[in-house]
Amino acid sequence: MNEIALLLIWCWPLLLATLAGLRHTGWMTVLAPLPALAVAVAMPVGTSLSLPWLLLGTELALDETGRTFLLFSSLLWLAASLYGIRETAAGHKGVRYRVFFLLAMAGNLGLIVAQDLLSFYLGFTLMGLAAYGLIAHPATRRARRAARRYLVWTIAGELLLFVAVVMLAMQHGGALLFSMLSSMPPSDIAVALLITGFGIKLALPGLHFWLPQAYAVTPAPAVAVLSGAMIKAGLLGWLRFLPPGDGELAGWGQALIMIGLTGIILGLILGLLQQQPRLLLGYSSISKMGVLTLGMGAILVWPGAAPALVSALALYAAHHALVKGGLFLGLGLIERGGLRPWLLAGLAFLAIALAGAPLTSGALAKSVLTASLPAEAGHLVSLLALSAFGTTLLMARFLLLVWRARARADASPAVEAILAWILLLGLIATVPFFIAETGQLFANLLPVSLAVIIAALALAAAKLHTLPDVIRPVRHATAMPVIHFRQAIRHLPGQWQTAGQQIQSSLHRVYARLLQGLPDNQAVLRFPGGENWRWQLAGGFWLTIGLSILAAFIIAV
Amino acid sequence: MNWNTWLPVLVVASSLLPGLIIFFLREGSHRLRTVLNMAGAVLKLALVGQLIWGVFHEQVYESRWTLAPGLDLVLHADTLSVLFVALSTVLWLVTTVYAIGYLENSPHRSRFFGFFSLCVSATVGLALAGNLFTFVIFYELLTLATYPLVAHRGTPEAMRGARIYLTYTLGGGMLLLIGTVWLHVLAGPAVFVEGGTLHRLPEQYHPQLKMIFLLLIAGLGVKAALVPLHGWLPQAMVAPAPVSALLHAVAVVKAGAFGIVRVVYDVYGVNFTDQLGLLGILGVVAAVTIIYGSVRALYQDNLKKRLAWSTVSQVSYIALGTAILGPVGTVGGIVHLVHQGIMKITLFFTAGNYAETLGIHKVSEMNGVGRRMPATTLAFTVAALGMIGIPPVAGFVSKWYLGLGALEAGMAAWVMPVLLASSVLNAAYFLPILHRAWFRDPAPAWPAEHLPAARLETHAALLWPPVVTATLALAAGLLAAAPYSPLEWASLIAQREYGL
Repeated sequence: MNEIALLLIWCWPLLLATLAGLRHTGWMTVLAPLPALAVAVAMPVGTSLSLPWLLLGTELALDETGRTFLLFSSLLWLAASLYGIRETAAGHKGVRYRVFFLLAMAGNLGLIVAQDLLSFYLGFTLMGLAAYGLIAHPATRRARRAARRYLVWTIAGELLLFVAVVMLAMQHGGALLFSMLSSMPPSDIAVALLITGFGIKLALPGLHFWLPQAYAVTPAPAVAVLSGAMIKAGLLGWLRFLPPGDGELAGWGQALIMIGLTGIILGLILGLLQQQPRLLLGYSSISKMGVLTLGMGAILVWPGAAPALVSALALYAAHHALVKGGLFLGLGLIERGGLRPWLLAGLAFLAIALAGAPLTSGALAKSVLTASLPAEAGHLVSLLALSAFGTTLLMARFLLLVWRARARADASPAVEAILAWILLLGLIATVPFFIAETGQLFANLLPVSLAVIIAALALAAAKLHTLPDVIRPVRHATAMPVIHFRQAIRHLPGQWQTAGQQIQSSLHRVYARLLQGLPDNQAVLRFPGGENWRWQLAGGFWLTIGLSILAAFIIAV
Repeated sequence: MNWNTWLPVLVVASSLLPGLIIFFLREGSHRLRTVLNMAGAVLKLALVGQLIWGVFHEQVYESRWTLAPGLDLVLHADTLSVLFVALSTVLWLVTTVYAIGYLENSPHRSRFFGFFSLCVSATVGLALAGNLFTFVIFYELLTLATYPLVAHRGTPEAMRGARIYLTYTLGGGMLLLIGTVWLHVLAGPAVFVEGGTLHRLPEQYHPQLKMIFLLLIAGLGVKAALVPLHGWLPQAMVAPAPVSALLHAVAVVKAGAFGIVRVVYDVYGVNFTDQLGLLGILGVVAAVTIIYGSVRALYQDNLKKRLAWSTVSQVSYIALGTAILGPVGTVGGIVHLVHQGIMKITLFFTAGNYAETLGIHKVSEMNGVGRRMPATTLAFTVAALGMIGIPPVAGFVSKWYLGLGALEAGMAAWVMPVLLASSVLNAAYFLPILHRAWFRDPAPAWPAEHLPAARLETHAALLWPPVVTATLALAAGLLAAAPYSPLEWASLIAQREYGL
């Protein structure tokens, strides 16, 4: 296939964006990811295109990692385009949505085939800024606020990356290709900037504050690509910019493993506390990005295992992208037309696939990942099992939330939306069987079944109204430190008491923010005096998080 | 008297003569005026094209008149002058088209276009100046030619703004003249030579040379709007939009910045300036201006005032590039001369469009304007993104070279935060405008809809210039590594300056 197709990956969506204003062209967005899909399927690995006149010298090429990323990204964009043909079509706002959608697509798909620093940066920036248009599309105040927060974080990330890219360029005498990065390890400042810059995109714990609200307000097809394809660009950035070398970055690798672990735990715990399905899926993404971060850390610590780990991570990213995309698209179908039995069944399948149940893509991805980890990384394997356990619980809660929100709507979703979702589902269900080796589809049996049993028990207990009795001691135990704190403040002299109360109310605000999605956040803030059990819970789980992270440090180090 | 001697003179004359003729035209003869304007612009473009080709192939174009022994009026075309001349010419052509549309049915158009042409002649003259003396003469002519343009409307605010402008720029011109005379007494005619000539002077002159440098930079800094000499710029916003566009992109502000580049590179020489410890001072002043200008821009609701403060900030990128030792920083500063010109003129054109078509003067009135005037707002968007430094618009390329140059010169510790802070501030005052334009619903009625929506969103002569310049801004970034891009030419200048 002609290498011009590599340039077409960028230009075709951009061209369609200029035509977006014409009438009756809504269906054209479906054509946009096709060059990328064609390249991913049919172009031989290693084809390259050199454009020295573009930007400051551009190099595009397809490599193995790029092929995997391109494949799942273009498939997801295709599904989302098909889904969204009529979703947001009305008038000039529909044109605006389509333009931003296509711009984000051009950036996302383009950066995958970029082989020089600047065209990657260009695609990353284009994608990041165009996503603003998708998040701000619903003209509500909540959407505007979420979009602004997203934009501030994204621009901060891009500025940090700019400094990192300039530093890398200077280190290599102005040359800009990824292939030359492996000749010299990057300086510490550059690595820190790269980790933070791409970490904002990957929603690392501490850099994730933009994500939940953004996922809550964006239209369904856009959030599917946002959570599926666009967030993975951060991982690709790490893979491209941080060559494993000979282990010079092992210290950074350890840090990444730590951060990844924190992300996994934070995502799971905060996700379990959510009341809205979209927010829960958002925190689930944070947790899964933690897994990818963990993997990236492993690459830096054990560079010998890097080739196997890189392809394992790419496969895991593909699995997560398609399944998460499917979950959001399915959720969109429910939001549009109410819960139907087949919808629930499909979502249940996707949920257990995300959790990594046997015979799903999740099991395949996890098997490949654990197989590629070197022998010294045994503790990481057990952490991955823990993650599978937690994700199953999380997904059980997700299905519960979906079931609870099952008000039947009058409208019914567009037929092409249903078609897109079913095709995606079919892909996720069948492909693992074609590419898996024997035994790889039977991973995770223990953690997943254990979690399913626990979830079923919890549900049964709740149905039989015995739950409060079960958790009351837990509630008391976790609330104890908090209650002690309040009582202790009352015994303090004047100013100290005021200071203590101020600390208390600041903590309220922090918790309310973190537990966004819990109803009665105002009730949480109205705390002083009342025995609001959610406050106890919040105080309690923070202690839990702190202790588990401490335990994780002790295990891993 | 051969072609090589005549060409620089002709380049200046191609706008001077039509300008002088236009003064004497009756108010109603707008067709003749348009023909003269456009003919002059196109002719100048052709001559400049020849000039570019010639200078690239190392031909010498020089015109010299000896006014007195040791005092020559010299027009000389080297790589740096050709850069500025080309920018001025292209943007003058576009601004002429715009001004014709903008001032339709306005009074005193002959007077306007006459001074407009004089202004461009003065700009081109100072671009082609071959020594400091000639530069100063054209610099003063520029001041005198632009005063009537600022005062054009004749209203009390316009007269006040023009008076402030004149006070500042005449003061600056005085400082520049003193510095030039002192330098002339000390070292003879300060001819512009790549690499500078003053490093040959004996060491005992160095303290005087430092004082002269400060005087020169102060004089030039008034026009270049360096803090604290920038006060005239926001006041001069009372001028009609074509004037603001020309002043802030091409003529006055760039002339100051261009003068600073000339003094540092072609009079003192960049290594000598560094030796005298003066580059650091310039860098600090530039950095302060960059941050201060952007911070003030945040608080402006008036669109043109916001753009004026943005100009104060952005032009100092050029001074910053000059202050960074090394070819990469030099390239960054010089190429920003072109890039900022194209982007800023787009912004002012679009601001003028909003004012002329819908009566919009304030940012708070811009809700939903993207739907009513999509092409204009798209041009505004491209230029604003370039100002913030987002690829692939041209502003990113300048920022890249400045950052890279700072790292190579070991100055990144303070230059990088300045660049980052400037990007953040630019984002803070441009992105909300873009949000309002594209994501908010418009108010029930525009402030004053002068031109109702027809087939084109506004008058064709108002619409095409910003679209063309926005496309140029995008092309200058996207095709920066292509032959004949501004970046390639800036690299050539840096090569010849450092003798590479």
